[in-house]
Amino acid sequence: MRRRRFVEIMGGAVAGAALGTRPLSGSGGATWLFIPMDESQTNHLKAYGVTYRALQRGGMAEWLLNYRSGSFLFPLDAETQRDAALQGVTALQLTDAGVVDLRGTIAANNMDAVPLEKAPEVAVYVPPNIAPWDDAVRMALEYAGIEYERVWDAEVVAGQLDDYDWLHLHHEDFTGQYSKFYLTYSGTPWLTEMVQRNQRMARTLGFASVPDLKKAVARGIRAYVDQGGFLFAMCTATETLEIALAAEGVDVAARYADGTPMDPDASRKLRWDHTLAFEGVRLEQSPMTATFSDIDGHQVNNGPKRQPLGAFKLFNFAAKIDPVPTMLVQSHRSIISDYYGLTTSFMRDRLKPGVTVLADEEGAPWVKYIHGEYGSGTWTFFGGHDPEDPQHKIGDPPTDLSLHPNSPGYRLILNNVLFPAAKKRELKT
Amino acid sequence: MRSETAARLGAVLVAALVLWPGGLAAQERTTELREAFELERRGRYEVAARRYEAILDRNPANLSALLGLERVLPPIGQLDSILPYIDSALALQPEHGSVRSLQLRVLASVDRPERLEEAARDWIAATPLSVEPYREWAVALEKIGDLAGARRVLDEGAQRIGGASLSQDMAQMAALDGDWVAAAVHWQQAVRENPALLTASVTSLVRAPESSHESVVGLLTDDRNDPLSGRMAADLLVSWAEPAEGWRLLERSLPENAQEAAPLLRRFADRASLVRTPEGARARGRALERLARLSVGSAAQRARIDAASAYADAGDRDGVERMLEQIAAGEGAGRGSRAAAVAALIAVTAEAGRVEEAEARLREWGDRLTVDDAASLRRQVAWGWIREGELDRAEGVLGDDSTVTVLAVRGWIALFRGDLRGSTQYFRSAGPRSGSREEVTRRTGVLALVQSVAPDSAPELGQALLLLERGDSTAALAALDGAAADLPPQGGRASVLTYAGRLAFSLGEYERAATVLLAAIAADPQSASAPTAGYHLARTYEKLGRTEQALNRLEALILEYPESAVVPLARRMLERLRGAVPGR
Repeated sequence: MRRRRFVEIMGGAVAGAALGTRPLSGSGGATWLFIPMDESQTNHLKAYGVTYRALQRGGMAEWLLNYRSGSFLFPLDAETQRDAALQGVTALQLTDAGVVDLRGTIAANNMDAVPLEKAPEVAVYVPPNIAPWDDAVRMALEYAGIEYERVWDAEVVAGQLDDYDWLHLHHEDFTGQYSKFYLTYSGTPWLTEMVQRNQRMARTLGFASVPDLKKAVARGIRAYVDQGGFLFAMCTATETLEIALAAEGVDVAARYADGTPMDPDASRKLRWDHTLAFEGVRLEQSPMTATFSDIDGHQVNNGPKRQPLGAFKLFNFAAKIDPVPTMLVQSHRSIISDYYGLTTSFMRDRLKPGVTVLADEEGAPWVKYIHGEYGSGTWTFFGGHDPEDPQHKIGDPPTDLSLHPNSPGYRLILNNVLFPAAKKRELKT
Repeated sequence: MRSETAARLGAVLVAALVLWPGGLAAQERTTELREAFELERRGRYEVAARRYEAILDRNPANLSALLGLERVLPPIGQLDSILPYIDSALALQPEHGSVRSLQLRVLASVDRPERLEEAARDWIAATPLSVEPYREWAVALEKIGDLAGARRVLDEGAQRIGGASLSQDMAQMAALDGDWVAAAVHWQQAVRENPALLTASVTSLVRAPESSHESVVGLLTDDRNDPLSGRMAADLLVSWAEPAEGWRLLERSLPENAQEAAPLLRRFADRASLVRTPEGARARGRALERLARLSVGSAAQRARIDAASAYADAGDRDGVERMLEQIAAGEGAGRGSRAAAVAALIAVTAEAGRVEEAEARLREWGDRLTVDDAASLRRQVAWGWIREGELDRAEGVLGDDSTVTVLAVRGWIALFRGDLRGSTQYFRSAGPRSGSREEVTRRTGVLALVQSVAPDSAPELGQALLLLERGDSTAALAALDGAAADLPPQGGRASVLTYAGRLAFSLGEYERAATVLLAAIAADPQSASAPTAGYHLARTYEKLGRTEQALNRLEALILEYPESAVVPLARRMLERLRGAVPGR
């Protein structure tokens, strides 16, 4: 169990002490490396990779929340400097005096310095086959150079998630209905392969149907969070994970998925006390409509109910009091253009009390980015499929992130990756 | 009796309310409907539903309100409450297709299979000769995933009504089921019944996976005497990127009547234009050439011009010339279009290396061409002579023209003679904007090379570049090596070796490219060409499968020459080699 607990922090003190103990080379010149994350940064996304690798090498770093849009500070070392130069990341050398100034600014404003102590072990839940759509998180991790491992149903059912600090889910359909593309894309090789692979896995693991298997996987993921894991989900994974958790003993899958039609009274029978984020949800009954429920505000594949895209606004949290949501919203832009996914957004009236809204669209009944705690762990849901491809369609080529090195949407994803690296601090009383 | 009359009057009034759009009541209903739509748009489904219901209470046959109710009830989980309203509407208009269809959709959605069948059978009884009930019943079943049930219904309808009336629906059902051969059979029947469905059939069948292509085409071409199926197969083949075979089929199945054949040829040509290969362009050219034969006047000329352009894309010079000659001789060709065709013909001839012929034609037609066309053709003929190695003849064609575009050509001629100072002066005089963007880029690239060479004259370098221009890359590579050896290490040797290394790379001679590029870097590590050589060396290592060496070279380049213009390229390549971005 390599995971650490984090969340009950609310400290105000800056982390200078932790850094001050590290021997620094030279005393007259620069002794610190500073990576700004405001508009002056040439490659925001790779800056996260530089930070991650510095931690991986056993180094230390600080995440300067709200200071120049969430910058990073390191004791100066040649490896990190070289890495930043190779990646095209803007990095500046600072003297001790410069860092004292910087800490003064942080202490006097709505800012904080959070020590980052260890590169988190990252797992991405992804089927072994290649689906004709991309996964924004894997692209972000690969572009930033952050290592991750792939897990799928067998690993989750076998309880192997405990090996990881952070788990990501993306386009998976945990209701076991193949994203409800079964009828529309009937006969396409990728769908045929997807169905066969899932059915094979269900048989191998002893489940009667794919929906049954996926429900068990959803329960495994919930247990992982309960025991202290960090869960980050995007797109359909958010909505279907919740439906699968609520649907214990209820048939929510169409006939093509498990041989029996969906229970016509399924919506009423769902148990929302079993879920993380939503409640009171009504399911979409038609197997022909590639939408799952009324959680999603945009209903991209639901004809007349489809809503146009707007822009979402990140909330500004008190860094010294709410460091967790503050970390999750660090960005050089506070308003970001929206983008569709099979699940694009979350209806505000379907959120459980206590869910923290990190970003919403002003005036709209939906929110975009939410966070909460469950047991000893946390979860974060981010609607939409690909922040730099607003209308990603099946078969579209993957986004080339080298064309979007300053993407504020992708930054939000990478905030989540670094978030488990933050050192736990004692509750200030 | 009074009550009977009153009832009749009531029915008439209801009908009038439904049918008569004018009057205050109608305006109020329009306002109410608009309000209900607005509530629906804002997501206030519950309130919108009550508003639609109020409209229907007063006017049971209001179709807009019924359809609105169908949209807003599902989100609030009350879809089944629409059924009494549908019954009321049907009591007034039992044969109303839209309401009947709505009834089937709703019954399917609320999962009432028995009532669904009962309602469908009622509709069939009311309109026994119509295919609509079967079609809508099948669609409702398909929407709830009961594809087998939908197929049964369509089969039953086809048997009862006969003919190919439901073939189109059966074809779509088979396609949905992934049974593409069955879909083709049904489409074949549907198109035979109604040839206007040809486009629809191709649009549907074109989605068939590659594994089904052969059997679908085999089925459609089984009967050589069935031209309609042949046309379907031709359109499918061209859409599946097999334009040559598609053209063969279309050619043999074309109708004799020109008016019928023309749209088929036009459509085929349009589809072929989406196949971006020489084969696709050639098939497009053939279709347009045939179209030109079937057309007259300006339409024929337009088709010939398009065909010539397609043949040019296909690299089919014979085709281009054939078309241009026809344009030049074409009935109704005006002086302008004939001159344009001749101009194009001269350009094609010069490009093909028949420079003597091109020059003769230019002499014959020169005074009938526009000034711009004539100047442009003189340059093209000059380039034709350059590629023949006849620099004096090239200069002779240019005459005393001193326009900037001609100065650029003179710069090249000077360069190929080894007169580096002269070529630099000509290129500078030509400026950065004469000629196409491609020409300017090429000129700028060679100017950078020439300026890095210290001597004013380098005949061996000129000869090497001329060999390259004439397409003899292998000889040019050897000549560049030789020319570099004669230059001082910091006076152009590094640049010329870098140029030679890039040429070796483009020829696929990677080992040689690696050797030459390493020599280029060693000749002058501080030169501006060193990072460029390093970048191309990394590309060469990649081709040789030495990824680790490529990565090391790129890292060294980024760290040692952080200000170089090739650093972004190097960084991108580094990302690609490490799998951080999608490969191209």
